[in-house]
Amino acid sequence: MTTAAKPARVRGLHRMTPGKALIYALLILWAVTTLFPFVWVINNSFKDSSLVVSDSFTPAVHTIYSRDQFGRIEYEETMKDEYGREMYREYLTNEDGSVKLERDVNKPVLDQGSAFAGLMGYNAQAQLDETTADLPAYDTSSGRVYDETSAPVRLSPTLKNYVSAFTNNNVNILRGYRNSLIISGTVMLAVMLLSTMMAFALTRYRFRGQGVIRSLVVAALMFPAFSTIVPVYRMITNAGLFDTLGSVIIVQTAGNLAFACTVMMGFVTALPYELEEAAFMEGCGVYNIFFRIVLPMCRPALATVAIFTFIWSYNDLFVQMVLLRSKTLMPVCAILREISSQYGTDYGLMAAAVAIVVIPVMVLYLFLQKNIIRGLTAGAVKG
Amino acid sequence: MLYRDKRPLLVFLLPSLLLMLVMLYYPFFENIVNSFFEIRSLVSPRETFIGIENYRKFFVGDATAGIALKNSLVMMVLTVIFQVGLALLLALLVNSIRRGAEFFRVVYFFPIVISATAIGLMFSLFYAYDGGMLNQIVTAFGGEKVLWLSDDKAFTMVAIPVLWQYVGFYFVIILTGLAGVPEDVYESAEIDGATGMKKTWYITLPLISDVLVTCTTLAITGAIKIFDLPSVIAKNGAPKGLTHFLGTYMYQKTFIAQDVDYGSAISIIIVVLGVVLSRTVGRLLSRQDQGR
Repeated sequence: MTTAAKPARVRGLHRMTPGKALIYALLILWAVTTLFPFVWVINNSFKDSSLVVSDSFTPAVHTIYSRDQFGRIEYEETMKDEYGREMYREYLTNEDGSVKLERDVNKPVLDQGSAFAGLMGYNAQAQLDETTADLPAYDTSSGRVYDETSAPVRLSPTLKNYVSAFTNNNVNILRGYRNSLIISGTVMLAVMLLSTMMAFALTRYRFRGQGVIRSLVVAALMFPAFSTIVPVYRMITNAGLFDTLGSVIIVQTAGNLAFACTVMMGFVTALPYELEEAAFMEGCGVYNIFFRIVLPMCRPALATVAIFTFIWSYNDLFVQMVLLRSKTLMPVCAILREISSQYGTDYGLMAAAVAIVVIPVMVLYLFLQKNIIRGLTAGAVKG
Repeated sequence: MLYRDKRPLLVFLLPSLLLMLVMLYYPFFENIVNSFFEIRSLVSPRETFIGIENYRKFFVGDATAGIALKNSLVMMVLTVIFQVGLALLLALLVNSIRRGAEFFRVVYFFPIVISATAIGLMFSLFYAYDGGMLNQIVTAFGGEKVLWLSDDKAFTMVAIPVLWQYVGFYFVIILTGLAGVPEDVYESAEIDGATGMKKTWYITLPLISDVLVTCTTLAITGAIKIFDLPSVIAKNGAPKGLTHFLGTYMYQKTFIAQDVDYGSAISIIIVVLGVVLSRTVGRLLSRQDQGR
């Protein structure tokens, strides 16, 4: 049995057994489940809201126009015919998305009359004469409108949702990003410095009360924000800091210190003591030793702390919701919540808002995934 | 001798210590005291002493609190079964393949770096009655539109994204644990004739049991702190408080209804439940291990 298993193992790399295939199928199934929602939302962020609700699965690469006054939507898909010429497939649909007309057109329709005929072909012949005057016509290949009275809107692909997410004065995501970077960046730096200092003090020095302070740090890990928020809210209000970025920074820094300090203590303890001793012999002061030797040597652990703190602070909706009122001060997550309560029916804007949050994080994640995964699981895999 | 001079100690220790005492310990104990007093609004002082009235109200006099507590407890069970369970299954599968393991690790972990708020927004696009993704699928197959956040479905619909988001987290932890199992253990097991399922059940699982215990404890403490996702998908526990969790209910009571002392009591129940349950489960599970 053993001898049979051994060679199979060596060759197994290239052989696909049914068992292996099933394993891959299951794994791919979950990968699709994980990625599909993001793909769907990003795809729909490039579509007009009216399309998101009727046709959310078509990739946003086809050009789609609409003419609103009939409540009907014209679809267009660019293709090549067998001779390599540009062709258009046109659909005319009802409001509910059912197709009324589907046909292929060989070249771009440019003049008003034929544009109208092409689009309305199925039943337009009878009404053509009376209605031509009121209907908009446009160049289907460039989207240029020929009639000023009612402009057909390009529904897909469109950047309109992004434009409104970035320019909406009420819920401006760009401003949210600025606030998030200020808050989470400051919290991250403060936590990195303060926690390393504390870890350094608690591991290198011997003093009375050391055990008590260590257990204070460990016990603080168990306080969720819920259990401190009311007195914190009152203190912040009394200090006149309510509705300032500073309030969120202070509260989040305090909330992350305990965890960061536990991670740093584990790391600083393991650092070789000889280097610091040698530097001291050379006449180096304690502060110099800390900033020039200890802090730089902590780089790997600091990376973990930095990533964890930044992501935690960025995602921490609760504290942001409690301590901030002004929309101009809200970080990204609070803005998202605001969008969902005020613009909950503008699906295009919502999709764009999610995409704006997801895409930069996705790019960062692709570059830093090893560090990010290590940073976020640091609490569980102690080390 | 380098660290014999204690004066720098103050400089290193004091800022963090002060911050922790002022922003964590003082409020924590203040909060406990608050829960025993009548407080009329967020900015008004403590008034009459009411003892354990708030706690009594929570457990016997408040139907919505009962729902929130039940939802949080059910959520704990669900996270252990679905998050840790699915993560274990996926980790065992990924551990048995060579090609693409890194790809699956990166993909599965991805939802965790996205804020729960964004995920909540995304899922409300799926659940929307008029033109939500799910109803588009349903109508495409000729069905009637479904009200996904109705009384009987709302909890499940809120639970799904919560469970879905964190599978990758436990997956990575378990996979790290699996990587720590030395290869020669398997080899000697193979010599003894253990294969496939047997190998997994008798060798792999006992060897990573401490990792599984950690995951279970983390899942429990995580489940009790759920806030962001429900507060975006179903605001204020809609419908009728049926999707309230302890965290969202505490927020609603404290900051919207301004029943501050009651909110404080709920927050203490969150802490106590979290510590007690995770400790008990952790202890029970690790004792079972030793018995095996």
